[in-house]
Order: sequence, then structure tokens, then C-alpha cells
Amino acid sequence: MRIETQKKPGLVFVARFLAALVVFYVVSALGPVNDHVVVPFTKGVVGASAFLLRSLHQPLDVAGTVLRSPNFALDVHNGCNGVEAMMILAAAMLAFPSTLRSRIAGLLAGSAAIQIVNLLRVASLVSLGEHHRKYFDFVHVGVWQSIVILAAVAMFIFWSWKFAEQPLAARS
Amino acid sequence: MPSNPSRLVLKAAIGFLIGLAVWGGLSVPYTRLLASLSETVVRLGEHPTITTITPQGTLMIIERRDVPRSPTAMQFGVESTDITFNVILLMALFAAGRGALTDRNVFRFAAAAVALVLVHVGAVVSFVEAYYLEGFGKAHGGWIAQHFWGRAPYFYSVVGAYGSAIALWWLFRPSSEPSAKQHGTRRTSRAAQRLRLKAFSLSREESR
Repeated sequence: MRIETQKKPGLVFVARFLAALVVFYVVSALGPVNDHVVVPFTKGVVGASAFLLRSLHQPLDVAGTVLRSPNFALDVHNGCNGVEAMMILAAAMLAFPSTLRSRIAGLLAGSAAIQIVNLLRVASLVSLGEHHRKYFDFVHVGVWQSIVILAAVAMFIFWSWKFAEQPLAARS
Repeated sequence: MPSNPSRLVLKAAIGFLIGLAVWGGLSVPYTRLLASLSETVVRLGEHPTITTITPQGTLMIIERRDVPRSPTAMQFGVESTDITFNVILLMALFAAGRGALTDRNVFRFAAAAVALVLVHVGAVVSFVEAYYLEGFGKAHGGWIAQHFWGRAPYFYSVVGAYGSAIALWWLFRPSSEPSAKQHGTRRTSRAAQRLRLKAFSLSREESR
């Protein structure tokens, strides 16, 4: 196993990454986790987006996970709350050789950054839906989903170069 | 850390825009291909063959021959763009790497793209099977099949689409030979070092 790990680290990383992704997905899809963690978190994302939009003088109502402007309503689900990007970041950090401390620090900082990007996504999509409805689907599916995940990948790259396995270097 | 992060971001952004144009421009013809391939795969498990997948723009309409058509009955459709958008991510990631336009990188990207087509076919099949499961309940497959197909489309939609693109990029992107200098720069495990070199040897020569 050790020999295999050294010979094909890329393959082992991908296997660990996908396995972690499946585990995170299964945990997040469990009823109690979804109801008591994911949904309240999504409501928090919606509340923060509403705050941002109201500060830009956009009239808005919030009902649970739904953002409602005068001509448009957006229901934020899994896949638009940034949790999927956080799961991908966590799976990649877990699969990559590093210490628990580095992983936790990377995950906390990375998740915060992802949520900032996601906040911009939700706010811009509401604004787009309100003013330019015909571009909404294209931007929603094609542009923002890729940008949020690319942001997660970029954060993982930065973390892996800057912080992962620092303690090993320090020990030498 | 890559020596020139702004160049890396610029290359990823160009790849992203090209990916967006390709995805937007080829969605309709690609839906036809995807519908045809997926129909073939779904029919492999059917005796007699009953499923038809008909492309309509970027929508794939799923029908069964053993269910009579009715003008009032609802049709089930799968929006192909919801499945195929991860090609944008794949293109951006390959574009960000070293020597994006070299033959090696282009061939590796082509191989990853072919593998991604298989992922897309698998995703469409999962949507079809989940639809049948919903419509036919326990009569459709055993306990494992029911739980697997019941959750597979949602898994793909939430994380699978992204995860598959990232995994394919990681597996297919060209690795580089480590230089003596790179070996000596940090004391990390060999596995971590090789992972970094495979994934992130981003334009060391190029950026000079």
C-alpha cells in the first residue's frame, strides 16, 4: 500500500478525494443534518445576501431560503449555498498529505473566502433576475457555478503550496 | 507557490471564457450525441428495449414505449446543460497549467474530455433510472439499485459534476519531471512533493 502510494500519488489522491466527497455528500444529505445544519446555514446565506442587496438599495423580502424582489424570486438550494464548494475544498484538503492543524486552518479560511464569493453570486443572480431575466439561466449555470468551484480549487492550490506539511519542514 | 499567480489567473480566465463559448455554442449538437449515447446505454439493461431519449434543443425527453402516449400526460425531460456545464471547469483548469497549447496538454485534455463524455452519459442514465424508480417504485430494481439510483442524480448535481471534472483534470494533466532544485527546496514527503509537481508545476519555465 505504501509502495502504491509512492508510485501513484495522483491516483491515490483522486481516490481519496472522491471517497471523501461521497462521505461528505452522504452526511450532508442525511435528514437531520440537512434540517438542522444545511437549511439554517442556507437561511444565513440568504439573510447575508439580502443585507448586501438592501445596502445597495434593492427592495427585497426574505422568507426562509427564498429571496423575493418586486419582479423575481430566488429559492436558494443545495448547490447554490456554497456548501458544495466547501465540501470539494474539504475533500481535497483531506486527500492531500498534511497535518490536521493545517487542514483545519485551510478549511476555515477557504470556507470564509468561498462564502464571500458565494454571497456575490447570490446577490448578483437576484439582481440579474430582476433586471435581465433572459440571461439568468446562462449566468446561473454556466458562469457562477464554475467560478465558485474554480475559487475553491484556487484556494486549495494556494493552501497546498503555502501551508500543507509545514510542520514536516519545521521538524527538519 | 506558482511564481506568477496573476499569469495563472489570466490563463484560467481565458480557458474559462473559451469553455463558456464552447459549452454555449455546442450545447444543442452535444445534446443530440448525449441523448443517443445515453439511450444506447439505458437499453443495454432492457429486454425488450423500451426507452427512447429524444433531444429537443438542450432538453432530452425521456419516454417509454410500454407507456401509452397521452396528450394530457406530463413528459419527463432532462436539461443537458445542467449536466454538461462542468466542461467549462475542465477547460479552465487545463488552460491554467504549464504549456496549455502544447500537443501533450491538448491530447491530455482531449482524453479527459472523452472521459467526461462518459461521465455525462452516466449522469443522464442516473436521471432516467431515478425517474423510472419514482414512477415504478419497488418494481424497479432491488434495494441497492433503488437507493443508488434514487440518490445518484442529486449527488451528481450537488458535488459529482464538479468532483468528476476536478478528478479528471488531476488524473490527465501532464506531470512534469522534478528538477534537482525543486527537490531540495522543501522537506516534504515524497508523495506530497510529487502531487504538487503533478498538479501545480505551473509555468515555472513559462513565466520566466
